[in-house]
Amino acid sequence: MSIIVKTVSRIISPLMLVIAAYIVLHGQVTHGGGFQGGVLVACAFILLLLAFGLDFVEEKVTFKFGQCFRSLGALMIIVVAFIGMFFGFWFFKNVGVYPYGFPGEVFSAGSLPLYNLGEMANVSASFLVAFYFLIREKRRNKK
Amino acid sequence: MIPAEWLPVGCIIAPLTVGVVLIPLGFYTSRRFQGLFAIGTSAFTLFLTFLLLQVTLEGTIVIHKMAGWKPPFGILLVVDVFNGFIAFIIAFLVLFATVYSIEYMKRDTGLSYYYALLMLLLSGMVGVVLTGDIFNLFVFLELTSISAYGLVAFRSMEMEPLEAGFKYLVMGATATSLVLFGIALLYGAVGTVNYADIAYRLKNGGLLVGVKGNLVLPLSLIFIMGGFGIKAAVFPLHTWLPDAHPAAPSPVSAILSGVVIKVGVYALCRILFLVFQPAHINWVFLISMVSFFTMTVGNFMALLQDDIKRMLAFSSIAQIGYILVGVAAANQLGISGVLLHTFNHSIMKGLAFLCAGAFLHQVGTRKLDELAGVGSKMPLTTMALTIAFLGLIGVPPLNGFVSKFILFTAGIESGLIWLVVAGIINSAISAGYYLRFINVLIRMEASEKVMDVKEAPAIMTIPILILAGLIVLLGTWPQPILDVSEKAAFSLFNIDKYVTAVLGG
Amino acid sequence: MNELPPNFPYIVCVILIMVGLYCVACKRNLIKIIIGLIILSDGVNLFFICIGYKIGGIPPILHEETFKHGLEVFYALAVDPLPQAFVLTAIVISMSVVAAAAALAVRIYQLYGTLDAQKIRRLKG
Repeated sequence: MSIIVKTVSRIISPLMLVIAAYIVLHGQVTHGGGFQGGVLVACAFILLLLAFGLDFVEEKVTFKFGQCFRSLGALMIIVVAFIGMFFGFWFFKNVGVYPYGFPGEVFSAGSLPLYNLGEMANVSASFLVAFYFLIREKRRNKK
Repeated sequence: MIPAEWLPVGCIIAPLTVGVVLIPLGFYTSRRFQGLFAIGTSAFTLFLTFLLLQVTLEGTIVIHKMAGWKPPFGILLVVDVFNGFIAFIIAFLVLFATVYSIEYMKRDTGLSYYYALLMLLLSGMVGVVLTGDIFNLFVFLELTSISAYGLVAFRSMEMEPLEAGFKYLVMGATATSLVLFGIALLYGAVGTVNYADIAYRLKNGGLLVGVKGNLVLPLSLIFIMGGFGIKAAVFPLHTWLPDAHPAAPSPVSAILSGVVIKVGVYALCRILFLVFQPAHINWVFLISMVSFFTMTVGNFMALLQDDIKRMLAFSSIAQIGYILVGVAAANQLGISGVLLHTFNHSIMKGLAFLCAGAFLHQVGTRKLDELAGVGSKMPLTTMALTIAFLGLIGVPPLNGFVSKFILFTAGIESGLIWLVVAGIINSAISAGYYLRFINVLIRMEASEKVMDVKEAPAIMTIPILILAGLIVLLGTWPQPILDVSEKAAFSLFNIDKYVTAVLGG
Repeated sequence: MNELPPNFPYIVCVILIMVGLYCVACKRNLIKIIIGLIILSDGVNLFFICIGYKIGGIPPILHEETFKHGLEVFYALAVDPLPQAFVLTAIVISMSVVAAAAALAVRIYQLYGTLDAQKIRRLKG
């Protein structure tokens, strides 16, 4: 890729991560939430991958780390849901693991921000790992 | 001890957690550990579904309100005997297939993905049957389908699984979009997606303002039936099945033919008999036509095959046709026949696919001519396969006879005499190809590929023998399962109890 | 906008669904079949959202200005949020199906060397 693409993607990619963090952390107040923020995080890394090549990104975010991070995100969702079940009798129940606050504030809404964070980890790592799978070239004999 | 309301959640979330955790564990643990972990999880799920079945057999409907929201607003898991029995059947077959696949998949790489997908498939199927509203049904149906696409195309080094997997994916994704369109029309008409709430509103005439009920509801039903028909492989939409089921690894073929197509039939039953029942749409003619063509096409195409797994795949299509006779009968005896035949067919077809997999594993081929004479070298497997085929034809002391008898009696009772006659003729035709296979397999002179094969290893043979014994046992003593099926059919038709339990509480 | 029939969004969605079904059924390139799947699910999702729309509606978000007029006015005016939640889930699901289909198409290309659906049917029998 040319020098313009490389420089611009080096500037834009951290900005995308900042916007993704805003979308995830404000999930209970504005639009967005875990899934949308996770897609944006993955796109930030994919932008770097397209500009600099697979090897550059893979040594920063390895394949193994991606799989583990994804499972950690999903496990966090399931663990918080089980905490809701053991303390509130219904699965996914919103017990105050995180402070309740008032609607419209950032630090509010019980278990919801934890679900958002877990979802972001899950989705971003899934997309990145799926992209690794699609991009890898394997030399097989083509019949 | 544990509150009964927590059991449905455990049945769905236990395999889901293991399926999520197993992929990174695959980097750090050995393949044997992953296999044993998967077996432990499916045994645990079988135990939980058995407890759930015991609780529902006492007559209570187990309701789990997710996050504590009251019924029309929240997502529910509602379990009565109908649901609980099918969840038990699913967990039962998946346990046997998982035990079998420890030995069968020994030579493959990437096994952590295989076991993870298998656990996700189990979780998705149990989720489909245990859920209480239509949109949650859609979500879990997609979880099942995506895991199934991945498992069919698992051996991606060969060409046939890839091609079959892609075709299955395209047809399955189209089916899901059609189901979603039907759900959208239904939501636009009634304003809710809860089964009990839709039944209540349709009975009390509460369609939303400005909706013409006699146009939107049949249209929605046609789209939903079309989508689930593709998933259950009924006549005009069955073309993915003869490619997808043989191309999958054999334990996965057993699960696909045994239970995955049955969740399509379950969803159809639930929607026709619970949700659309008060709307009085006349679907019996359509279902009986579809059943007739499915039976006939399945049996006639199976006569032409010489590949054992492809013949079994067409036979699955024919058996779905028999099950649809019970659905078309639309009375309680028909639904108990549907449940009993689901259980019996999952055992028989699962056993047949596991035996075909044993032949494939030891001999290395699926074609009938090259498998000739393997009966003398692998006697246990061939005997089990013979028992499975005799059960599929419907020979008296085995369990296939009991369930087909109930289905056809229900058909006669509701007036579909022509369909029952077609069913009996089709059973007789099916004897043609099953017995032809047995005849070739037990020939005296062996082909050159069969010369030095031995019996399959014990881990593969033990599930086969247990399932064969179960077929004989259930044929001579069907009473317990028959009782459960009748109670389940009674609870499906008992709409008032369901609605009051969900909404009135 | 008074000349458009009131069913106009629904007609557009049905046209999208029909275009998607045509691409899935009749195109030969695997990538075009996948794009047909995307168009089909887009049409269905758009249809689902259009069902929840009320003419002259406001976004269903609770904040101080809506509390001023009272909750009944809010319920009467607000667009239905439930289809939006459903469509979010359906978009995620169809996206993962498309990712799986794309992975399969890449593997098919690596093995067969072509993406033509007619040439891939060599193994029928």
